[in-house]
Amino acid sequence: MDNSESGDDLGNNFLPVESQNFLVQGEDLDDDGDAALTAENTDDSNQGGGDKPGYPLREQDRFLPIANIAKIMKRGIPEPGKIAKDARECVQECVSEFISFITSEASERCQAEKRKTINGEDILFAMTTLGFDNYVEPLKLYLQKYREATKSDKPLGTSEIYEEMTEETFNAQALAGNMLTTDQNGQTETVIYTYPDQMQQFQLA
Amino acid sequence: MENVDEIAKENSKSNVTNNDTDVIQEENEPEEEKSEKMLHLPISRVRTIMKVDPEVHIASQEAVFLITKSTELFLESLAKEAYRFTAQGKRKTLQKKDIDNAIESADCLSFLEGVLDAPH
Repeated sequence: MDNSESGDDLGNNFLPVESQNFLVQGEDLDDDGDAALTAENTDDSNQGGGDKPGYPLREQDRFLPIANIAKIMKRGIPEPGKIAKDARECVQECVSEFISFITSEASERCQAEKRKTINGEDILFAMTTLGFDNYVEPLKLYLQKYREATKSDKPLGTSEIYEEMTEETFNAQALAGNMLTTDQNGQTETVIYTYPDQMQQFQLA
Repeated sequence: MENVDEIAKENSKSNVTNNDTDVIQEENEPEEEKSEKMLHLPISRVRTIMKVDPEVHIASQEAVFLITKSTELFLESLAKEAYRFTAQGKRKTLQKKDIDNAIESADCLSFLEGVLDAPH
């Protein structure tokens, strides 16, 4: 059930299907016990990364893959342009900083409205607040595409069930009609409603 | 009515594999390929970075998607902005100092001030 994009799915706690959310809280993780034993965690202060995932993130996990970053950056500059190695590395940091920045703003808004789940609207609002409002319109379009792409999963199950039930319902109704006809003809044989096929055998033309 | 139950069971089995929360990660779904092509950054890594914040509890799939997407937009913008200084210096290679200049010149990038001074 895991992702195919990257193998780095550390501490990925998925809630069941219905909620479509994922749990980011660190309190429920097993490593909490270990963290409590450490001297630095005996007071209540939140050590950065100390009690959330239960272990400090490796450097490569704090950042997005540099190859992806370089590729996307190249889209923003003219063809012959190159990007120096130290520039790529520092952009890596900037990008993680950006993610944290937006997330924190969105999270604050959530808390202010006494909600627990950060949703798409919170992110869009954060963009506007933080000076990235020019992203909002393109993001809304992408969100629409995303919703369409993920929505097509749902009707698959329900429509199949629905169609099958319709047939069954139709058969049941046909049977009910036939049973009445049988009675009207004055036939006294007992008709037991079990299988449609058997029922039809009893019908007299 | 037994037939209906059987069909319902079969469909619920297939629903288990067509997990909505996994739609981005599922391997064989055509819908997942569509979503994958929309993103050029690993959404799971973005999630990991979000989790670093102790205030963050639960975020919806849409929220993570939007952040990932906006990160892509941010990357392009930052590169573009920095390259202005590269071109000004009549160079073709974007260097760290160009990024420094970009951060200072754009208001919305002020949150990055000081980030580049810290050791990597």
